[in-house]
Amino acid sequence: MSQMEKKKNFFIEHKTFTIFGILAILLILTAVFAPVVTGGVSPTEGDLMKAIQPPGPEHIFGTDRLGRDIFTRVIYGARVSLTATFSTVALIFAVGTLLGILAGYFGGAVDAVIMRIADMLIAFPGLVLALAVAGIMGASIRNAVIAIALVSWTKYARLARSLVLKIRNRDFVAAAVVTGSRTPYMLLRYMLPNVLPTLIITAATDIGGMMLELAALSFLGFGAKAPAAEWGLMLNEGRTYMESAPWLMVFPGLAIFITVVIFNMLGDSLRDILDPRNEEGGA
Amino acid sequence: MAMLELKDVTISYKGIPAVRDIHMKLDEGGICGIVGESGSGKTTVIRAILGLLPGGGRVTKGDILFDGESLPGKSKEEWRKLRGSEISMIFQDSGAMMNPTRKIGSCFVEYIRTHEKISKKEAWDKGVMMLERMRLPSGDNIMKSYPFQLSGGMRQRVGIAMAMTYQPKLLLADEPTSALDVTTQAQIIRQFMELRDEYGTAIMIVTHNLGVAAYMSDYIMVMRHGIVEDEGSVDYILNKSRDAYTKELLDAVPSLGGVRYV
Amino acid sequence: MTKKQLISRLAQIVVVLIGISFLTFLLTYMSPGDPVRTMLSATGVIPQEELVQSIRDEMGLNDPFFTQYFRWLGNCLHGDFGESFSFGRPVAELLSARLWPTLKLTLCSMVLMIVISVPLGMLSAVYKGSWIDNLVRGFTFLGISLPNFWVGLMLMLVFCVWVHWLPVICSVGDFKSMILPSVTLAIAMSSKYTRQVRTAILEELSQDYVTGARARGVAEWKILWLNVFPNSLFPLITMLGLSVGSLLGGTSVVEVIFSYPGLGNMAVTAITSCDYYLIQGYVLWLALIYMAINLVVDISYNFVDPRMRLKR
Repeated sequence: MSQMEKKKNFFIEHKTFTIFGILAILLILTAVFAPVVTGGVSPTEGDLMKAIQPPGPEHIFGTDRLGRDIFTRVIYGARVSLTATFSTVALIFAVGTLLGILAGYFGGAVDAVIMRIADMLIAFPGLVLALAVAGIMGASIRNAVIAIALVSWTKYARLARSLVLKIRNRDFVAAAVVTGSRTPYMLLRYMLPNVLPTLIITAATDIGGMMLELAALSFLGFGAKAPAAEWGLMLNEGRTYMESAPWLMVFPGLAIFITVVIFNMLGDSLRDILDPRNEEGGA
Repeated sequence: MAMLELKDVTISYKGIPAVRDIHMKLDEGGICGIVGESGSGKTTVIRAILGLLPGGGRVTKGDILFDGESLPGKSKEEWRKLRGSEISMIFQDSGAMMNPTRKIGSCFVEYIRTHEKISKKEAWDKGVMMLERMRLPSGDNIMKSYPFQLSGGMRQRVGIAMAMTYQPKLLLADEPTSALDVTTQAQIIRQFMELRDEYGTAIMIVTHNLGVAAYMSDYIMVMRHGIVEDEGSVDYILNKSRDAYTKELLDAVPSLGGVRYV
Repeated sequence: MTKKQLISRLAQIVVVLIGISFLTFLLTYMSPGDPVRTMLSATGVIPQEELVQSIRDEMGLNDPFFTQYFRWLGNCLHGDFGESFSFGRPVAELLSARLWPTLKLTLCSMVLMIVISVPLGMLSAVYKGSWIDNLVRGFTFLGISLPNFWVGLMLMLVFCVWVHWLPVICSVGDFKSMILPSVTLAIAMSSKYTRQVRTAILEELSQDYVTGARARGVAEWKILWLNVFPNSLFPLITMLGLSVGSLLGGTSVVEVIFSYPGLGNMAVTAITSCDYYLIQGYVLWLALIYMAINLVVDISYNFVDPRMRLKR
């Protein structure tokens, strides 16, 4: 069987993964090529003469109170949302994995300090702290990312630590240490590859949830700032016009929902492929 | 007519055969041993008789006849009524087969009242009587204990007491002595033999220990990889069989003073 | 839980509280906003440098960090959480006034959540792999992917704006005004919890004692309701305790949408107006409540689960 055929079979065998993978790529492409998709309409400048227009042939999702085209803003919103979400996941993934591996490998005081901080953050309602952190540091999408990362890295650290502890005392690790492998080499060559698969699955299934939390922060006014086109912020701006212009709320909300569904499905199917034992997926 | 008859039974999980073409007969008061290592399919056979195959296992070929009636052909409810009354089962650790958050008495009463419409008090007394008949001291105290508070041997006796409550025609035992120390093992095995002598109960015992099977059984089946590798009377298996695998199992049995014993 | 474990748990709570208080205090200390300027602007006074500095001195805001921190911590231990300038009242008083409405909302949505999740999760587990299971799992999947603030807004649009069944703005004593906020919270939470119930029941169904009971001929419904369900309550209650955390945090979004006069709504106001004492008080209180609830849950096991109670 040729390499090509093998690849083809993989995608046919895992239909869910393939379908939602394609959808996710389409979504990312839409975000990247937002100016092309929207035909060069500006997301932040509008025509006040055309404020609050219902969906119609000219503006298929309608316009907001500043006459901005909602369709354009929703498309551009994907940029903000996807960038912020991927940065958050990448940040907690990197920080959590690093701290977890260090804690597990070195043990002792390093372990104690890192894990006590993690315990502290876990013994606490996450969103409350994220809210406070985002608010105190000032509203911006960057601060929202930091706030959520600050309370979410613990899960990855704990996972990485427990996985490292599992192999820490195996013979082949001891042998490598005895034969004079240096610590950075040990961490990269033995510890990291051991923790990565599980953590990648976790990260993939976390994307949707992170996106929702970021949107919630923006909705509360602790994330993206006007006049940015961000879905949570658009919902917040739109809710004042609930009665007269419901389309201001419907479309950004749908955008969040659809994006989260796509990434959740993608994450779940990836987990099913890589880790078939864990099909239940409780929390 | 044999009491239990397996006719060319094949058992499959999700279409893949796990046990193939099992053929056997067991008469009233007979004891049949199934010997094999784990994964040989021996447990699957007795689970199939009780209709308790885990995860989508089914009898895909042949038939199991009990008193001339087809067991796989029975409805769920008919089969449920047979379980614990006509056919009982004893597991490796009877304690683990009881709800760990309920006292033994509560489990026992639940069981008795499943098969008999009597009051809780009567069911309790019946339970105590059964425990004491199995030579467990102070049945009342045992009824008031949780499974995890008893020793392995006591738990196994409780399991036997429960299984014998309705004097079943057929007793299925799945590695009933494997979790016990040698002394307790011998006691429990003797108790099994007495059950047969006293009540005429037919016993099917599944074990990896050929010594145990040889001591108890009239007839032995040696299973490996889902098929019957060797079978015959105890005398045949111990002394005459030329089967390499049977000999291998035989060598694994500890011998005492040149005489093979339990 | 032994006495020793209890003491270590209590010590842990104290450590976490100190850590949380330090973290929030550090953040407010480092934050770019100046509370005095914000406060003055809020009252309509033009913040002149001299005035700002004299007020800062007076409030002790120019003292070294640790002096400020320990003074504040000491006051907190005496029940004095400082004064909120945006509301012009003591923080402790504000928090206690807003606590009950939020707890009420949390309680209502939890009851709703249990009523929805437990039957669905059990059905899904018992008929694993059937169309019922797939349907339930489909719904929980959608529920997890829905942004709860959007659900709230849409419910509001439908029930308050279009059909006028329910009031747009909530008042505390009013049952009607509790409905939509509770439903909004319950939808998101029950999706998660249904999955957890399903997993817990499946786990319990795979236990040996279930096979044992079946081998004794005990009826399926008795196995499920008198054995499996009571036993799976232990993990389920733990998860319930943990979900109180996300509920307490999650209420703020819903409280803002429905203008519900609770803690979360007030916290958002406090954060937007840099009302630092109020933010710190809010964070500390919620941490305390959350940890207390989970401690009570853990302790309660000792009385319910014989395996814990009788362990030597």
